Amino acid sequence: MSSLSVSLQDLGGSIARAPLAAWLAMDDVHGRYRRTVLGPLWITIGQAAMVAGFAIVFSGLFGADPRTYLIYLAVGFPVWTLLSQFLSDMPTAFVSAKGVIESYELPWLMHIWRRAFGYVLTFLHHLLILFVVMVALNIAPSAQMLLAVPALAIVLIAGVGVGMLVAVVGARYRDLQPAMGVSAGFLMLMSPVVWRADQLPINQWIVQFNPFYYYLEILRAPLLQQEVAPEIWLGTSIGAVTLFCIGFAAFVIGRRRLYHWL
Amino acid sequence: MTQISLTDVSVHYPIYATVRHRSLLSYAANRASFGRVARDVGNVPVVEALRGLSLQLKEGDRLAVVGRNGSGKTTLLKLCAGLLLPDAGRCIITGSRAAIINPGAGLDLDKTGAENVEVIGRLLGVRKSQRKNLLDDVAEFTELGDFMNLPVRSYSSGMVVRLLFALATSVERDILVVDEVIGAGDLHFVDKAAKRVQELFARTKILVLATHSPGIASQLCTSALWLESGKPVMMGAPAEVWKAYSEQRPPLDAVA
Repeated sequence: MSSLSVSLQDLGGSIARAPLAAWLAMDDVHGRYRRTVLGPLWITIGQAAMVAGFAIVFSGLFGADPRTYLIYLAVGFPVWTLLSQFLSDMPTAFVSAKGVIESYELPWLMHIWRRAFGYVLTFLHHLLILFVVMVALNIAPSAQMLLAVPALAIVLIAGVGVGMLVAVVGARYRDLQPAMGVSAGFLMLMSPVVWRADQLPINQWIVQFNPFYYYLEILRAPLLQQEVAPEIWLGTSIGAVTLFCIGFAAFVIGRRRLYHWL
Repeated sequence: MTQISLTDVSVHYPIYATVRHRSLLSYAANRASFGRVARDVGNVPVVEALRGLSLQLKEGDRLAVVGRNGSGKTTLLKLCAGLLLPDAGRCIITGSRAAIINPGAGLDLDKTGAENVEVIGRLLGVRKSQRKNLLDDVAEFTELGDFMNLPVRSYSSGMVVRLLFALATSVERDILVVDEVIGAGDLHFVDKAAKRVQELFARTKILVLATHSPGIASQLCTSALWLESGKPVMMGAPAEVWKAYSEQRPPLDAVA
């Protein structure tokens, strides 16, 4: 049994077990809010407070139209949270699943999908704010917003790739998780989440060479009913497949030692 | 066909003795300074947990693994369960597998017993149509009654053990790997548990069991393997292997 054949079997098995991963992800979200009356609605409330706070303070600071800025944040924050979780939360994916890995005959990569589906679920809770804002500002939805679905698929593939990589490295090196945690704030500041890419007077490279920008853009623009340039679709797709391959390669290389690291 | 085939298998364990061994920062500092900083990063001690072990098990085989603590029993079990891959040698395992190594994984103390049965049933791959049967089976075996609908947090430790035991022994697989048999609860329950284990073992095609009990080895197993420092010492009928194992005493200089 080579590491490659075991890993390939694992990958296939994990895709076949996607329904289980999704169910467990839902159970995880419910579990976190088990002892509260509002339940997972807390996710939405927390994000709504964040969006409102930023909108009030920064629309004045930037001299932006409060309506446009509000909806920009109502999409930008959820998308950013989704992207950053793949980096900051995934390093513990295998470590905290040790017991389940030992006890049940399940593909190990199922734990990556479980977390990834959890992030998507959180994202969907956050998106409720967008719909509230759209109703309040009297903005009609359009078919263009449906492009968010393929965009979400691209983000998921890229994210699972990154997730496999950081989950393997995070099992071996335990300071990866805190390192990622402290970088998250910095990365958010360096990415056009609260500011807009076209507002940047100098240092355009911050956006141009920032991979987060393109993944933000591909998922945010459709939800704002804006066009995404074809080269961004192409670039993020190629990027997603590449990241997935890199992540899987890390899993193949790490699989032999992975159990020792847990 | 269900089989376990190990040919000249070795397994090494890295021992991460210091925090530095697990630190990406130390690793980066070590590399950036060409090894002058954080020198111990490159020297992770390695333990040889299994050395040159060959083993063929086919359908109907029930193997007891005996040996002192640290002799490699658990490593062999984890290899048979597919958790570890060998560092050298060939290892072929065909058939579905279940491992009772770490019972209790996936248990959520805030959930009720019934809810936990639901989650663990899914983790075990029990089909939707069978999950009701699983719940009935567990409820009947554990005699938890109304406690099934209360959070596990409110259970006594004996009740938790009963629940875990019932779940761990609820699903049959081709290959079953067991690290010691869990002893549980009151005397009445021990008899019941022993019966349930024996029934499960009888339905399993290949059993690999680590044990410290001569009774269990000879009652439940068809052969026994004695491991010492990761190397096979003797393989044969359980009673004979146990006799040789219990007669052997560690040399005095090894103790000193």
